[in-house]
Amino acid sequence: MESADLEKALQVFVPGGIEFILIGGWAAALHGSARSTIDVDVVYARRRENLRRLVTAIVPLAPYLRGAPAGLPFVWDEQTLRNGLNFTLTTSMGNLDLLGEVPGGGTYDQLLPHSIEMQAFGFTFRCVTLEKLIQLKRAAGRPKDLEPIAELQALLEERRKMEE
Amino acid sequence: MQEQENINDASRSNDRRENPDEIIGLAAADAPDPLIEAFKKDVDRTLLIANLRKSVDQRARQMQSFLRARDAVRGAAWRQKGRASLS
Repeated sequence: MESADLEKALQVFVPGGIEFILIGGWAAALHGSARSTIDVDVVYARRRENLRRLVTAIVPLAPYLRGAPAGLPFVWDEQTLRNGLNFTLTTSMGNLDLLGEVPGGGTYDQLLPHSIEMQAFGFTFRCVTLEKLIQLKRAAGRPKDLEPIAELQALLEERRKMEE
Repeated sequence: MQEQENINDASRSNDRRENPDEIIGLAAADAPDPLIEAFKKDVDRTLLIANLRKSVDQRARQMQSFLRARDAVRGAAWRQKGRASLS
């Protein structure tokens, strides 16, 4: 299984005009975390036009439901996006999690004030703040996140020391 | 009697301050948690400090490079395993 390629994801999302906020392991890495990740996780805006852009941008990546049996009549289109909210997908550029809402963060519009602009691989995009990322991970309540949360809190402490 | 009245008054004023229907939001990112503190002592802060000195783009490229190398090694290992199972 290939790790999700953020550069390839940005090549699709940013020129595609998709409204999204990067969260999860890649967001942590951009803030300075040393932990590796395998997915690209984004919170996307559920405005009608943005759903259309998501469909157009991601269809070429052959998206399929991660973990689902092969051969299901899964169609990546606007109806599918309207029917669901959070999608965990495999794509030709790796695992992609498209989240319409997240515990502790809410929807795209609710998370937007807790995001910042970042630049990487020649693209400008929005990424959740480190403080909010920690809250999201705590809100998810998964024991496997205790270690990553500890690292992120240490990262926040070190960043604050540097800023003093 | 006066002492009991004072205790009753304090209890009533505490009730006025606490609203049982109040929705409690998420704690701040740096709110202490003994579970997290237990893991924090094992965090390699020198690595974090080194990453904090890099730009966002540098961090992104560093991680991407690591992941691609990891995938290449895994791919080689799986292919090797496949060959071993055939022989």
